[in-house]
Formats: sequence, C-alpha cells, structure tokens
Amino acid sequence: MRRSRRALGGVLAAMLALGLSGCWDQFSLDQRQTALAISAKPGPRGTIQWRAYFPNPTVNVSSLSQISSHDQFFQYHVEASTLAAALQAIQDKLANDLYTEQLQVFIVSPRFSTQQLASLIGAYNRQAMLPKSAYVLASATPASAFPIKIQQPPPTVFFDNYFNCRTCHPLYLAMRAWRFWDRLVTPGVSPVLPYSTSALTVRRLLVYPPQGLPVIFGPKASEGWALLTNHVVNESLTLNTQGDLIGLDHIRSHAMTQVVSGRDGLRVNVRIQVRACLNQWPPSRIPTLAGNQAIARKVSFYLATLANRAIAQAEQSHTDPFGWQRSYLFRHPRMLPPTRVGINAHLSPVQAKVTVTTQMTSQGVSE
Amino acid sequence: MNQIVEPISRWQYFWMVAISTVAGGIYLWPQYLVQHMGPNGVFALLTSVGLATALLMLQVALAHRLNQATVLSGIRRLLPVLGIGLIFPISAITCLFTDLLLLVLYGQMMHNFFYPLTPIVVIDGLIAASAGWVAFRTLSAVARSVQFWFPIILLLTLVVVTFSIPNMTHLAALLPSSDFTLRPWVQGTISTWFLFSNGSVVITLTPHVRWTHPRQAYTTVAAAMAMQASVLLIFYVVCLATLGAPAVSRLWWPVIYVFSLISAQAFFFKGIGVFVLITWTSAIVLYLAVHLFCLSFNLFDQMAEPATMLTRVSLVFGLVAALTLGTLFVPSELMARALVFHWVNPLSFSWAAISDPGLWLIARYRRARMVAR
Repeated sequence: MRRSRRALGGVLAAMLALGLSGCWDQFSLDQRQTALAISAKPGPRGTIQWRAYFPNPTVNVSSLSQISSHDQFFQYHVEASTLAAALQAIQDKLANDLYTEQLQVFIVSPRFSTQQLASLIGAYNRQAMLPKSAYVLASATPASAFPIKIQQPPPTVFFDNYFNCRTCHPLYLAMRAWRFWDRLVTPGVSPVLPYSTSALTVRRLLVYPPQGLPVIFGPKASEGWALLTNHVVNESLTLNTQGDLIGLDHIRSHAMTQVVSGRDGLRVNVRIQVRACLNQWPPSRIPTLAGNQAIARKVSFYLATLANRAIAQAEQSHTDPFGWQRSYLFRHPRMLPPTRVGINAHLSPVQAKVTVTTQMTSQGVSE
Repeated sequence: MNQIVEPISRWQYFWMVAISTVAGGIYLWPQYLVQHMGPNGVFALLTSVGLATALLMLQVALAHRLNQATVLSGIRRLLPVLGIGLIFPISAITCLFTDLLLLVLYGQMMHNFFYPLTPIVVIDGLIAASAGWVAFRTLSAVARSVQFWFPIILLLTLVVVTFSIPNMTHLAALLPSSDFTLRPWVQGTISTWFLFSNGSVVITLTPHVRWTHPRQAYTTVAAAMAMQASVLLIFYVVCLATLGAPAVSRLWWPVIYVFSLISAQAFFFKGIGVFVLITWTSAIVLYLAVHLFCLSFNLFDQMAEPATMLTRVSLVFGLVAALTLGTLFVPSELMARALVFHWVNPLSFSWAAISDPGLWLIARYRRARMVAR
C-alpha cells in the first residue's frame, strides 16, 4: 500500500511539474520576439496603421557602444482595423511568437477621436496578455521617427525611462493604460493623455471630450491641470519683478478639493498649498521676511492664473479633466444622465474657486 | 469507526472552516456585488457574511445534536428515507456543481492570464488531482496541510495588497451612497453566495474536534467567518479604491486585474503576478481538498465493510475524475458564469436557507419527543 501510494505521489508530482510549468507556453528565445512599444495612427479608408518595436536580438551588451541607437531596435509595420488583427498580422510578419507582456509604451495618434480611442483602449484592456501598467501617450510625430535615444543594457524605450523617473520632470504627466481605461469607463471624468510633440519632453495634454477629437491643453493649461490634480512634483519658476530675476525651484503642490452640489451645478473649492525654494535673487536685494512674503504672493497669483486657465479651457471644451464630477457621482450614481456609460457622461457645469497659498522654504547653505 | 479520523485541534478546525468558504471563488468577486449595488456593495457583503455565519451556527448546533461520526449517518438516523434519498444528494450535488464551475472559471482565468497555449482541461485536471492528493489522507493530515499553507497564502496575499496601496487613489468611491434600494441589495447578497457554499464541512468536522467546551465550536466558526469577512473587506476596499465602481463592475476578474497593475520597479522581476498565481492556486487546491475530503469521508463511512484504503483512494480520485471530466462539459466560460450567477447561487442559497434550519428544527423536535417519552 505504502509503495503504491509513493508511486502515485511520484506520478502526480511529475504531472504537476510538467503541466504547471507551462510546457505548452514555452518558447525558446529565438522563437519569440518581445514587443516593447506599439504605436497606432489612423490610416486610409478607416484602417489603422500599427507599428511594433522590438529590441534587436543581435545586439548584446558589449556591442551597444559600437552601434547606432537606431540599430538597437527594429520595427514592423502593418495595417489593420482592430488591435487583435494587428497583433495577429505582426506575428505573421515576424514568423515568430509575439510576446507582449513586456510592452512598455502604447503610443496613439492625436488624430483619433474619443470613440475610436475608447474602442482601441477597451480592446487593449480586454487582452489579458497586454500589460495594463504600460504607459499610454499621444504623439504627433510620425511613428517611423519614434525616438529611441537613451539606451541601456536591458532594452528600454525612451518614454518608459522618461515616465519611470518620478522626480526628473516638473509635472508628472504619465498615464498608465489601466488608469486611462478607468477614466474612459468612469462617468464624470474626462480621459487625459500626455501629448508629446516633436521635442522629447512632455509638456502638453490631450483632453478627450465625450465626443469628437481631443482638446490640446498647452503647457500653461497643463501645468494648471497638474496643480489642481496634485501632479506638480518638481517645478521651477523664474519671476521677473522690476527688472530683477528671482529663481524658485523644488516647487511642489498639494491640492485639497471640496465638491458640493449647488442649485446651479457643482461648486468646487480647491485650496492649493505650494512649497517653493528661493534659490536665486539679485545681490542688491537682501532677503527679508516681508520680501519673501511678497514673492510668495506673486507665486500664488501666478499659479492661480495657471489653474484658472486650465479650468477655463475645460469649461470651454465641456470636459472635466480634474475628475470633480466623478467624485460626486461615486456617491450619487443615480444622478447619472441616462446615456450609455463608457464615454464619459457629464453632470452639469462646474463653478470652481481656486485659492493658492505659497510657503517659501530654503534649501541652500548661504544667504 | 474507521481509521481516517482522529480528532483535530480547535485551530486546525478554524483554518479548515475558513478555507472551505471564501477561498474557492474569491477571484470572481466582487464584480457582481458592485454591478448590483454600486458603491453600496459593502452592505451586501456584510449581509451575506452575516447570513452565512448564522447558517453555519445552525450547522454547529445540528452537529452537536446529531452527535454522529458523519453528517450522512446523522441524517440517516434523523430521516432514514428522505435524508439519504433527497437531502444529502441535493447538498452534495449542489456543492460539487459549484466546485466544478469554480474550477472551470479558475482554469479559464489561468488560461487567460498565464498559460494561453496550455489546454484548460490540463490545468483543471492538475488542480483537481492535487486537491485529491491532499484529500485522500486522514483528517489530521488534511488539517495539517491546511494549517500550514493557509496562513502562508494569507501572508502572501497581504504582501500583494500592500504593493497595490499606491494605486488606491479613489477613496471617494468607498463612501456609501445615499440611494439605497432593496432589490439590488438582495441580488447583491445572493449573487455572491458561491463564496459561502460550505460543502457540509462544518457539520462534518464539528464532532471530530477536541473541544474543551461545546460552546467553543460557535466561537471558532464565528472567528473563521470574521477572518474571511475581513479578507473580503480588504479586497473590496482595494478594488473599489483603485478603480471605482463603474470600472470594477466591468471586469471579470477584478481582484486579479487589480493585482496585475502593480509595477514594483524595485523588485528583481516585474510581475508580482507570480505571487497571485501561487497563492490562488494553492487556495483553490486546499478549498477543493477540504470539500473532497468531507464528501468522500461521508460516503466512505456508509460503505460496506471492509472499507480499505484502496476504496477510499478510488473514491477520492473518482470524484477528481468526475470534476475533471465535468469541466469538459461546460461549453464556455460565459456559460459557466451564467450558471454560477443566475442558477447555482440562488439555488444553493435557497437550499441552505431551507435545509439547515429545517434539519435543526427536526432534530430539536425529535429530541423533545424522546425526552418526553
């Protein structure tokens, strides 16, 4: 009996090891290509042009310094109307298994309307093998000029490095695929994407209205958005007062939002607390407490202008990129208009009041 | 008495009761809860836990009254024809069917997220076989396995939960809403009953625990349910605070999805998903093992003498084979979902709500009559 039990155990253990190790899903490295980035832009006749970027398998760590950055990756281009068809077509062209679980960025064209993008991101989210923590961004540059400039031994694409650095940028505008999908299906908030123009910095935002093409928020409105939604991480500012240049850095902000329902829509009260370091001022001007307070008031005024600019632009485009209505609708789901949820539905106009208070600090070692 | 039962300790009983309830289907949860209740899901959650605890209390009371080695022999003594012909088969089949559907859905989940090219029946079969491998041993061996693994599973889950704290940004989504209506509340309560299909574990095991006082059984069961309720509550908070109710109600595997979002840069590997894979697979294996053990123990006890080890092994692996083959007959995952949420849940809930109090009342009545005589 004991022997048969052991034999049974051995057979079971072998079966478990074989089965759960995923023999069926095992591919050797030369049979599989890892896509690191996928981009999509509208093509002719309602199709979509897709591009997938792969690290060049012939590059190894020691050869990295000798080859140009463009040889480190290779790309495939296909035309298909859906994401699934595109992945299939890429795999077909590769003649290899397409491995997408390491995807780092999904780049979309700003020429997609909200509905088109919602359907695309919905498909992306449905695919279990596409990582939901990949970054999504909009880029106006043609997909062939996709910038791959910083290259490190584990193959990474530029925007993955860019967004992974949480303190390098003044505003943290990164949007992960799941957050973007969440915004698309949650009523009361407009989906927002970081928008990269030709330069390798992201200072603009695309805000998606319930229908139609996205609205571009310029650098100032984007900064206003970041102030109102706690995305200012390391901003710097130069003030020009009566010909004197005053430099401020390490600017961080914290916004506290209060949303109440009024008779004529939602009333939003945002109090933004800003901390800024005074790092440069003209030698003729000795820093005093009163002088510091005057600078702080100027900073507050300037930042409040930026926040109000973002609010005005949102109002103009009938969007709510700040998610104020969302936080209200979470508690009052019955208030939803009877439209199909999925494309963000809006409640009512919002009246927002912004108060900015700035606190000056110093991190230097001398006066 | 047969040789497969020697009394277990109170805490082993605690872990076995705990794993026999929530662990099997938690990965499907809380989509339906949120779909019906929206931000008020927590009320339905508390109601269903409360109801489940109350029914388990009745089972403990019944077990104390019957005072038989197995529930089957107890029912046979209580209602000789109806018990063997109707009550026990219905309970057993409901439980096995729920387990089968949960296994199918689990296999589908593994297939979707981790093993896209592995045939689902292989995944299902291996999980069922591992459960059988644990279940054919003696009660104390099963209890030891559960007592060892379940705390580890909970700890690993807690680690994964901690990693998802940075993603929890919608705390407003946790606040209950002012519009509370009755119908969605009832639907939300019943549609999550698959979590609490206990498979007669409590009633079967209660007589085989070394109690210092019979009242301890009630407190232990209540503690096990309280622990599982807190696990459910934690998952509810994580899901809702990460995604908000509208997004959660669209996801088929909300908990798995939420954990797949973790991107810990500091870790050597990118996906914490590995932890989820390990914890959930071991949880469902132990869940099935405890159910299989109790069912086979009840059947084995009634078998004609001499009941050998071989009979028991073939009984357990017969059930395993039935489960594995059963998965082949569920045509699709959508069908399995529809069956779980629209048929099995209401049926198993109604059956539990009728049979547990019914049996308890009959046992009480019989006892009163016997005392009167």
